[in-house]
Amino acid sequence: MDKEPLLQVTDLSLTVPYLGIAYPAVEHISFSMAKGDSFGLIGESGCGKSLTALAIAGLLPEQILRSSGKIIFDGVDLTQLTAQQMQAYHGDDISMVFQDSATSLNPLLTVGYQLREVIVLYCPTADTPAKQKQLAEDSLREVGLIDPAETLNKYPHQLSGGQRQRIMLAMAMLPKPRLLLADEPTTALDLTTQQQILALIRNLQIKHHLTLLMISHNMRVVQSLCQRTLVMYAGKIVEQGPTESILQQPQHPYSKALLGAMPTFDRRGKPLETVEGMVPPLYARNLACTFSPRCPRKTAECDLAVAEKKQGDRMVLCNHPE
Amino acid sequence: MSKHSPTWWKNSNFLVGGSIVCLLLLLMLTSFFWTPYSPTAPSAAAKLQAPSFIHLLGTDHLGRDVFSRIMVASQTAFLVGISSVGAGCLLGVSLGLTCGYYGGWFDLVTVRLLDAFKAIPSLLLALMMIAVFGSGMKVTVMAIALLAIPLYARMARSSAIQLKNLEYMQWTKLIGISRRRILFVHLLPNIRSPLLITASLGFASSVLTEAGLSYLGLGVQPPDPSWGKMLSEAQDYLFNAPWLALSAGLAITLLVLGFNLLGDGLRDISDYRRKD
Repeated sequence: MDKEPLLQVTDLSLTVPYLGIAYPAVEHISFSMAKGDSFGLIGESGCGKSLTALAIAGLLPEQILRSSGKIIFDGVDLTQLTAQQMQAYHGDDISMVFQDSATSLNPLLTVGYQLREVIVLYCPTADTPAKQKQLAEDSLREVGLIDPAETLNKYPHQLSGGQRQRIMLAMAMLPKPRLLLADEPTTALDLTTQQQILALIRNLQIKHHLTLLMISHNMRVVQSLCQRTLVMYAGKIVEQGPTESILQQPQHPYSKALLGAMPTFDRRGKPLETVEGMVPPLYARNLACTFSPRCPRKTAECDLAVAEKKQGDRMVLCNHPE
Repeated sequence: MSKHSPTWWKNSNFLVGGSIVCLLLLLMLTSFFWTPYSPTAPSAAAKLQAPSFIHLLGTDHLGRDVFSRIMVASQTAFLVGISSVGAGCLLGVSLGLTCGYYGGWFDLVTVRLLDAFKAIPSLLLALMMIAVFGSGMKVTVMAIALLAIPLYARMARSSAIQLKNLEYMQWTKLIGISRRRILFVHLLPNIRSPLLITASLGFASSVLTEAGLSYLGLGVQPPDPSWGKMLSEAQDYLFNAPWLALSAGLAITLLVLGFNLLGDGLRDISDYRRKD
């Protein structure tokens, strides 16, 4: 962390106000990414991973409010900007790949049309239709689509999930972003395609010196791509540290449970471990440690207070870390 | 979903509805330059004649050919329908898309207003407007068109809300495509099927409203021809010359039925869940 941070999130809290009560969706999360870093944000559904990404991208739904915190991108606090000023940071600074490839392209417009929209806005050097078409084809070739010229004329429903996700990546990369937010880009894909897309993201990251924030509920996805991992549970970051070190020695019981739920070769034939119970809903997050109802190491003090423990470059939010 | 199969030619609702509408449209267009007899010239010699090969739908109490009058009056019905669909699509849809996409206080106020509008039966509102601005073709057409706007606005608004949080809509916002392009290139084409259905059903209900108003003597005024007006004139001769009431009533029924079937058919065609 000796380099100047590109993205710095400090004390970010997001709430859902409803009938006068503000329900916490994301609580006091902080992290800092330097240029070229790749971070993994993992956790179950409903832990606030996607909301964190949407907050950084400035795409929060209107019913969700930011109650505290700063999002500093390249020295500028994005939360202080108006929508118009924010627009300047979109696309060419911060870009995003979404989860569901079935809905991330407009079903009524051809791939070529949608690529051209991005090119017109972000690639002023391509000022003739021929150049734009060339650039669109090149971008598709870069993400490994074999027949770019033909793909340009196709509609999203004529393509497979993997192809659509590649096109999404091509679109997200066209503005040459510095920060790429990838919101579970491989979740809707089968395992083989998943691996291909992950390899593609890794290549793009190296080639374009991307800073990558990868959101996933799959430890393995994060393992192959990210230097550092943030484990989120019920709106809080419960563990943070270098990916390898977390994988080898998870300190938080939730990280440990997540790793245990990952199928591995040496546990073949044994039933898959699961984390009992569910993420508490927004209205039931009043315990000091929200994981305590599902925690094997729970003691009486856990419901009253929980302490953050830092050790080297690791952080864990637990009274009884391993 | 992968194959785009055009099943409209298999849908009987769409086919029957479409044929009825096309037939009436053809009659309406023909009436601009040809009718079997003059729709306005009375003939003392041919009063209240029953339908025959000379007068297809008979004649009325002044000896005018009913078929010719039905043809000419269809112009009024189509004018009312088209203008209400036009106003609904232009004003209603723009309003609804804007409200649904942007939300906020403007949306809140507009939706409450539209709800309030919906609380009062549209015929009553049309009556009120006619009471204020006077009856006649122009006011009737405008009143009915204005009343159609909330229907389209609500439909467009709910569709916009449904679509705006989809990933491709978020993407357009992320890369900063202009607001007008987002609304009209990305959002509008994606609501075309509910819009088509609303338009075909809205057309029918507007025609019905106009017929109702004219029947009460408040809508289109003579000498402008109208099916509703013809129906009320026929009332006095219900027992002597039932064909007068029947033919006007049948014309209204056919047009409304045609558009309703067309709407049902369009709904079935555009709803992929109903496809085999």
